[in-house]
Amino acid sequence: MTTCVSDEALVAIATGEGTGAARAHLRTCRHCAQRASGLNDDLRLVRHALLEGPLPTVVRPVRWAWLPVSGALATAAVVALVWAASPTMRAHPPSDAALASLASDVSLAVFDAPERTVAAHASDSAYLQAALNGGWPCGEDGLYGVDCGAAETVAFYTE
Amino acid sequence: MHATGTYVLANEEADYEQIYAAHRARVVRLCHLLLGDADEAQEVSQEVFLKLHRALSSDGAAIAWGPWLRTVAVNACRDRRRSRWWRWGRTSEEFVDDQHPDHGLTPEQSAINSETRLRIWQAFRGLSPRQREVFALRHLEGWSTDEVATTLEMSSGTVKRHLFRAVQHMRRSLGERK
Repeated sequence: MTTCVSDEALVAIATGEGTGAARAHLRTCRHCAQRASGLNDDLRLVRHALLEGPLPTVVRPVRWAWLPVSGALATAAVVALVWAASPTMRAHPPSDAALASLASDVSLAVFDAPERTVAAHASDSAYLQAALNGGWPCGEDGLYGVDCGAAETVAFYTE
Repeated sequence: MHATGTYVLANEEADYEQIYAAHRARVVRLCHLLLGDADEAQEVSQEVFLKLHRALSSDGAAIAWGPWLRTVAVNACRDRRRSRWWRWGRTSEEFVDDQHPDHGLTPEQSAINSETRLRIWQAFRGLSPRQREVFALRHLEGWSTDEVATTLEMSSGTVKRHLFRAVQHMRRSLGERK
């Protein structure tokens, strides 16, 4: 009883290799000879299709084709903006005094705004009431009316 | 090395124009097979022949330039395939057979209808990159197993395994048409 050759051995024979025993078997076994013939026909067909005929064209979706391009353009735009802005900032740097003033304004706006607002409202109401009474308010802010003391009145005019 | 290849010209003279004319079509074809894209194949082929020009300028020794070109082409295609840009746009592929029937084809080529050719191409593209390289060099270019193993830096047994799996895959795709 003979043992038919494996598919690996058939491929080896079809590509010009293989053992002598396998080749000898093909000469005596009709079944294996047909298998080898079918393999050779298929390989010949594949060879002609891939080597001789025109190859099919690859078509890819547009979104994939443009995605790298759009990404590169966006990156280039960001780099260009940063590059253009940097010299401008370096050419006109803010002075220390301006920075200190800005910091002071920010500090006052953040931390002192509620108290000053309340004081301003109280002062405004005092002036309003004094104006309605026909005079000036007697307060602690250096403004005194005619109804206040003489020393205080002098102090008002001297300041 | 590679002295037994089908398209090898022994003792080629180191003349760029002659080598270019003799091998350009096959190199472009090989790159097209490995990359699956005609435009990319043209670009990589230009890189390959630029390297040939440099090699001839620096060392004009008479060697088998055909196998040398194919080896450089395989490596260049591998580098291209590994690049980030290459992988980015190749998550999906569709193939269109835009061949005009029976135009400039041999009778045997004409016998392969458009559907079969497209099926073979898709099956070939379905192989792993290693299987494609082995199948192209071993079966299409006619290199020996040892030559393929040396070029691709793998053992002869690995080359045989890749070739067998590639052949099985291709045959299955052909079997579906029957």
